[in-house]
Amino acid sequence: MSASYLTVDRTVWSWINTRDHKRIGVMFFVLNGLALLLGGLFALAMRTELLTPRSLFMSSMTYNRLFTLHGVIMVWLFMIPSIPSAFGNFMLPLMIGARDVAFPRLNLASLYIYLVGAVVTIVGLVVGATDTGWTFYVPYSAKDATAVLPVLFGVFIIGWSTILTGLNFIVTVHKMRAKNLRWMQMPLFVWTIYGTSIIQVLATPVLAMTLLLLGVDHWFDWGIFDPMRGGDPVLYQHLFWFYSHPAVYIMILPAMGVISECVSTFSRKNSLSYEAIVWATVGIALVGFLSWGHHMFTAGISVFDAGAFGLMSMFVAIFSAIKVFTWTGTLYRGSISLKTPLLYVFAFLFLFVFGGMTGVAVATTSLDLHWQDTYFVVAHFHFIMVGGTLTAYLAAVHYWFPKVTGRMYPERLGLLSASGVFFGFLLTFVPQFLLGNLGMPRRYHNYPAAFQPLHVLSTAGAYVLGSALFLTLGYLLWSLRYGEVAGANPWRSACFEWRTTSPPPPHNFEGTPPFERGAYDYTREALERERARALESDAALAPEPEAGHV
Amino acid sequence: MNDGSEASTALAPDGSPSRITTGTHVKSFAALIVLTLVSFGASYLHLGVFEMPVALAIAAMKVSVVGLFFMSLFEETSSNRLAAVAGVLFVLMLLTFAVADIVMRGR
Amino acid sequence: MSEGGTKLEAHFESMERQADAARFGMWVFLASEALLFGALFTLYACYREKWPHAFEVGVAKNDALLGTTNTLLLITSSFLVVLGIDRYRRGDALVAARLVASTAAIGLLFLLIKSHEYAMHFSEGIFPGGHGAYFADAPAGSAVFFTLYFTMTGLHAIHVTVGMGVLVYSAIQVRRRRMSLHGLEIAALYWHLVDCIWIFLWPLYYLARGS
Repeated sequence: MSASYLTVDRTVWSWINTRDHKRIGVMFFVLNGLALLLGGLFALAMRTELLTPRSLFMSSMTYNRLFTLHGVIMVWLFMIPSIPSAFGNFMLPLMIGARDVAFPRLNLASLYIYLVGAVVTIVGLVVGATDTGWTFYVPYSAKDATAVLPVLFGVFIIGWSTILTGLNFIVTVHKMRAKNLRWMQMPLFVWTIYGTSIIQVLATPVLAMTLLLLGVDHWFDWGIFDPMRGGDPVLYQHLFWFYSHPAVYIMILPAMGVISECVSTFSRKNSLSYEAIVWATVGIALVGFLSWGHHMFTAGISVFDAGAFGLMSMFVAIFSAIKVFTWTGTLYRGSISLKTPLLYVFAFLFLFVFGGMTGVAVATTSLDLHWQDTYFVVAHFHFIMVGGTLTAYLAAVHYWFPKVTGRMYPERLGLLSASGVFFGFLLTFVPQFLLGNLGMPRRYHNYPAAFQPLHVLSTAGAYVLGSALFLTLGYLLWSLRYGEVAGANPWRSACFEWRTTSPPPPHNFEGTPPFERGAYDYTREALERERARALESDAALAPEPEAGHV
Repeated sequence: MNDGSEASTALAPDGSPSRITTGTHVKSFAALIVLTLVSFGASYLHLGVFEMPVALAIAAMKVSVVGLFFMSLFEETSSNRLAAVAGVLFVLMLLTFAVADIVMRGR
Repeated sequence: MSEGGTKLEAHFESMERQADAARFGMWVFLASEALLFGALFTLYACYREKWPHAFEVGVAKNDALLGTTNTLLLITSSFLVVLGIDRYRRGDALVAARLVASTAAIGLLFLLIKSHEYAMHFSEGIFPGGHGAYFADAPAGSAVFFTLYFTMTGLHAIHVTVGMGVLVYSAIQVRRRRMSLHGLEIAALYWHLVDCIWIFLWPLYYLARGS
């Protein structure tokens, strides 16, 4: 058996100084996972505090800091880099038959930039006790007594990490595809990562600039958004959301890519329409840029902008609907095998549609006036961010676990924890919709006693969700050592990353990548061609023995 | 300095012989200087509401000259052109909607 | 950023592909840079719409002659660097290196003029953030005008400085023939972008002073 990327060199230095996109992906995965753990613990602390209408164990100031910690860590340190930087890094070159990304050193640099940014952010949050929430709105953030500065700086650094990663991926997709792999043959996950990278490269600099202006305001009192000096705080929001709304698509597009992969693999069917998904991906990436204003309906923006942005936001729903129908159409009459990733896909479809529909509701200006800054909005974006992105992330974790580690996770425990995530999630956030509609504002740690039953339900749900995630963490760590050996392709998927050994060799493919069969081609002829080729190459290369399935 | 050695032909990024020669660069430079002086002169004509559009139109022309002939977008590969166009397009998008908000506010 | 070196990396199948990727990478980076400045241009447009009078008065306060000199300087420098590329393509490393180095020298001249302008502003009591004596009886909105002026020209000056560093490094490498033609072209692309941004900054801060 030839050495895999994990065993080729076991020293610590070989990891620290690696250029291998797979190792960099794994390191991103570990760092993102730590961020998820941290952000999750803060969420549990908040939900515990909200059990009672009056203060349970923390002051309102502590609560303000907690929701800032939770928001900043989850958005900037986990959601935005999670699927692109971890799985994108690992899978993208495998999926296009490249030996590595275009600029491996730059790739390693963006890992370290992320690490530095994350440390600065977390230290800043804790030491400076930031309490502005993750949006850093002026004028409060400019005048805030507690230190916003290190956090701004940390997020600024992380921004550069995502720009460099995005740049690397764009160049990789354009210039590193294997011979004969045309654009319209690339795996759908690659398309979504590509769309995401465009957003990262073109939107993040605007955020970087905005945060820089805010920082300069703190250092030197320049007051560029200060109304007393002729500034306009709403312009801060324009610039902030020009990045941060597309950032929602940075979070959801790769998730959609994961779903596309899992749907085809576990129904053993070609996607109902490859083109529809590709064009919907491109459409979301572009229209996503033109809907930032719907975060600002109540901030005093013009009626014209509100109308235009409301309309554009609804276009996003059309593209998303195209995807959802294509996925369900693919599943229909497929040869379904209900494994953990597919169960997460089902959870995604249900929760994402629900979250999306409430999104259309809040994009309607008149309705938004009622729901702005209430738990309704909180529940809405958690349906997309957690119900959408986190479930897709977990689907990706389980789907690619055998590819990355070479081992299987325990399937029954996987199904159990997936169910726990789904029901725990519903129990957490459905009550929040109701609370928001009744008028419960976000970011308050006290509330009228009448709201208590719904808050208790929500907290109970958070604990179910948390336990399911801890269970997942437990059995995944266990599987690293004791899991069944997976073999090259335990899911019998047609997609390209499965056509090499698990875990893959350092340069991804032994010899020329076998791309004669399409990524989603499950026809009988294709399977037979594949089998004949496998027999040939088995004799020639003798890869590790197939195990785990018949 | 006399380059008596082989004067290798310039290649465009797509591998074909470049159509942008040193002569093209000299002409571009001349055009840029002229446009700069025109713009400078126009600023003393008190054009009123047309002042800004004229100045920006000349600036756009100059940037096009730099882009097409100095940065050789004129014969660049399609992906590089795409990147350049995307950059400009997204700046315009941000600008349009933000300015639209300021202009239309209170109407 | 890949420096467009002369060595083939293990993960590329050919030198052409590698050079192509490096060039495309630079273009994507430039698009990203455009958005970085795009945010500031957006602020300029919005605030000018809001405070037309203060902006006209502010522009009139800047020295159009110095600004125009700087524009001519940057255009000339961009021209010199493409001449350098032309010479390098013909194998004339010495002249190419001199041309590239003189491009960087012009960058230095630009910065000197720019800092002289800043010094004049400071002496008149104009500081960023609406600080200084000038703003006591300046029209409303003057503070944002000058804050933006210092921010945009300052950020541009930082880019000029970085670009000069890249050019000096390139000149040395070209002289030793250690840099590929592609590498030099990529370095020049960055310098041209710095030029392009100034081409827009110039009318906004030196010419559009209204009637």
